[in-house]
Amino acid sequence: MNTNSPKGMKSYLAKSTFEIKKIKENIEKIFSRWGYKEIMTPLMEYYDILKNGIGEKNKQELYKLIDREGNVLALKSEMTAPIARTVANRISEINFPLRYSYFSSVYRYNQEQQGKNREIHQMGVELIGDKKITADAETLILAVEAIKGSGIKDFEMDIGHVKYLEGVFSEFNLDNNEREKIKIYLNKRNVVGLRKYLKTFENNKILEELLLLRGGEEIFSQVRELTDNKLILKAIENLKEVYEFLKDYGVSKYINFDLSLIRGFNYYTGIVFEAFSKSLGYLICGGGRYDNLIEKFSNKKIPAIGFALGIDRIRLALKNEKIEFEENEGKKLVLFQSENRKSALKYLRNLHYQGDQAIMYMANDDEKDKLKNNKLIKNYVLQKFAGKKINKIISFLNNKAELPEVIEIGGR
Amino acid sequence: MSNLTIAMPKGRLFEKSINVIKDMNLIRDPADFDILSRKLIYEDKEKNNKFLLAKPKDVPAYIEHGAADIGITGKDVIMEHNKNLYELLDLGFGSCKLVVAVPEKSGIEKVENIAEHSRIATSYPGITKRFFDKLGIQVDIIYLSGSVELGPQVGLSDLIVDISSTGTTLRKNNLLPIAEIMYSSARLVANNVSYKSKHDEIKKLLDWGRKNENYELSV
Repeated sequence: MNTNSPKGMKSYLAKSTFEIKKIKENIEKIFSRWGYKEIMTPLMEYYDILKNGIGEKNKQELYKLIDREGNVLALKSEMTAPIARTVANRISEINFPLRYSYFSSVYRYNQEQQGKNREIHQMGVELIGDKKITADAETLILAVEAIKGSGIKDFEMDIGHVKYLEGVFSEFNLDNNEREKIKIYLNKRNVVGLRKYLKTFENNKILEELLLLRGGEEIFSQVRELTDNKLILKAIENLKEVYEFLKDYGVSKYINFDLSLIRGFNYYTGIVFEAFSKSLGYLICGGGRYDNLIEKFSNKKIPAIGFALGIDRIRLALKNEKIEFEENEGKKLVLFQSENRKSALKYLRNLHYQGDQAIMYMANDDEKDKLKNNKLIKNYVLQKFAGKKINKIISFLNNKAELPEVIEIGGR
Repeated sequence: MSNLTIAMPKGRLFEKSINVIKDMNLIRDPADFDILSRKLIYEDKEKNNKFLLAKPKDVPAYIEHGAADIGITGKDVIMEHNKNLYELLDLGFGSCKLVVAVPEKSGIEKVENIAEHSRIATSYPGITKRFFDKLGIQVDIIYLSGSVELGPQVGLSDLIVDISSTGTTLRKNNLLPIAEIMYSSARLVANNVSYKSKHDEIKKLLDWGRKNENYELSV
């Protein structure tokens, strides 16, 4: 029998769980300030629903199983498709716009030996039924604030726009085949392949420059110098306007523009973004606008935008930034013998009801020698409860009266 | 102020990689690489860069997980491991081809004639599988980490998939290349986050690459 946890999955002991819980609480606070309400979706969905969301390329990362009737099910690998499906099911009872948040495990059956988790803890939001610029701005501000709220200090966010890329494609009259090829190069981050491929086009220098633009606010004017294509300029205007919101809210210093940013999932239709911590080699957040996904499940076009945060990666980044999680630990120990159990338990109950952490220990007769005086008691408890962080002993041992003695254990 | 951690490839790509690093002005004195061969890790305090020495096929792992910001490795390795990283520049050197080779006596002249369930010895199981899947020929792949040419001579495999630069090794072992799967050369790669967070430094390297197109032998 293999008694290990399955590959890519693990149990979290008290310390790690506490850290994840803290991160969750901190981020939740930010989400609820903007009126987001947490929802839950099932662990499994029909395979087709999830495949529709994440696209052909990522479908092999789904854990699949077959139910009694022969339907193919899959474990959710991200939360946007399940939430879109849920909203589509209930469309008649819902008043838009919706502000939903979630905290969930998702599952990705990735290749072996990559040092990657297959169970991932994600938090995120979806703002559904709002197509206005304020929805884009709200989501971006919220993403930055959530990362800040988690405690990470040194991070940046890249913003791009799906329509920008479409504009570039139309400006150069590229056919579907050529567009797909370029998207694959961009998605695979294969700059060498992209540049070699672009050499076969006219005006390839401008095309290359437009595709590889990345930087701050200044790139808006760079784009305008390179092209007057309407679609491109419209996407740029959209980004610029959102950026003004971010400036006014005071979060623009975290923002860069990567105009041809392509996210792994193919449901995005507008603004897309991803964030990274400078202390970690992985992304910690990704999201964007997806105006056509809910339509796939309901035949009603409902615009939406959202993002997800990788909680395990945020925890790693916080560790790299040497940020400590404050644990208000320190338990009280109520020590007694069977004859004064009654008063000891009453005392214990009062401690609990006033919100203290406390546990009990009933001494046997054969321990009497070791518990003769307070000094011995202290030594015995320190030894027996080593590492359990007991900071106070309430001893009912040496007096039969109702009033116990309090023995302080200094330091840790 | 570069502040980059750079993964250097051991073995046949090492010498030329040193030249590139020198031309990119990332190291104070290329002679310092002697230290690297002994210690596996070396810090250039003047240029503020850190170098580490790894097998070419391990370089993508260092890059993907952010243990190094940039690195040099072969295109063959990048294709085989399919990692999530930026491929920035074709450095031109270390060029070779990944070929399908059969024993001269086998009489096979083209891949289409390879029998179903032929056994193929290779250090590139991923690329090999994708290549034959595309052709619709089902093959049994035997992974070997080196000296793949030995396979057919001792009856371990019917044919091989391996890299070849001049063809000499193949000829010496009575093997005949019948198909070219891909062309490979040394590439400059970067971690996804480093590409963004150290973009100014990496942009300099990209610009250097544009100015030195002669490094890029076209395919």
